[in-house]
Amino acid sequence: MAKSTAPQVVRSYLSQLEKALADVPVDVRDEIMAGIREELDRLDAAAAAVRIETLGDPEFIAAEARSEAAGSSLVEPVDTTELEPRWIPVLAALLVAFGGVIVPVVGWLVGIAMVWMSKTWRARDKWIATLTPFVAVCMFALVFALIGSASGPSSGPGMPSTGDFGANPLIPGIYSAMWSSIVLVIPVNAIVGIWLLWRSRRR
Amino acid sequence: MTADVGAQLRKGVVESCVLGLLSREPMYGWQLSETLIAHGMIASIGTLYPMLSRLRAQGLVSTYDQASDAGPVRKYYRLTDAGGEQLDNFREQWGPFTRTVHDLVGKDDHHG
Repeated sequence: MAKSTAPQVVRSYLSQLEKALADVPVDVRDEIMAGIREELDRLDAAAAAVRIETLGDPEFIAAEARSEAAGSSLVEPVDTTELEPRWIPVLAALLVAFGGVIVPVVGWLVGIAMVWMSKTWRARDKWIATLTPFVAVCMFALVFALIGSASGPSSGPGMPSTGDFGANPLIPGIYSAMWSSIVLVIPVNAIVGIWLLWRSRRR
Repeated sequence: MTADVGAQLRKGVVESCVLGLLSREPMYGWQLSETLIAHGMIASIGTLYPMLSRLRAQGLVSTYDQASDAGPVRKYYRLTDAGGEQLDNFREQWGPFTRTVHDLVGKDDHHG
């Protein structure tokens, strides 16, 4: 770089240009600066002044760079997928939230299917919405089983008698876990549905 | 608005013109800018570089540094294979396209 030895006219032009390009994307700004610097490098003041005259006003160059950098390329057209009507994601989210209460299982399935067909959510959000109730139930069952096994051996003095639970002590546990899961899934899906609604508003 | 029509037309083809220029020989930024400005395809060097970064991001052009005998080290732009294909594609469509446009708008003998 001939920075310090460059004629005053070059140094002041480059600093004006750098200032004007402040809000242009950094890679474009660097390329413009490098391209112009290499051209003005090693020129004497008179020759540099002629070059600068042909380059033009830094503000104009920056304005052109801004609009060109913001504009889309014709080689790769902008993806213009049409937006779906607003009611589709709203209905999908509401069905996920409450569909299972109105028509057990099927209502929720329809909601999830609509979520997957919608362009509103990213794949990650769709997976979260689909898997959350299953994960919640599994975690609940796990916690339930841990509590069950932890309290099992030490139940002697605290519990009335193992006889009260019948021949197989696991059966009431499974029943109660199933019912608890169903009760658990209702609020979980309500939360997931509301979360989906919230995510769809950020689009 | 003649100026607007010209600007719109240039916008559609200037990238292909860059590819066309680079298909003859690798060029550095200033050289490209002067040629395009001289032909009225761009208004300033400010238009050129965003376009070059885009063409590079799409893999249509690549760059290399080369020192000149007397002057500075320059960044040269050259056409990639993909850029060559893109240019061929444009050339194939350009002829029929201009003929079609000419057929549709070229006759002004009805105005009188």
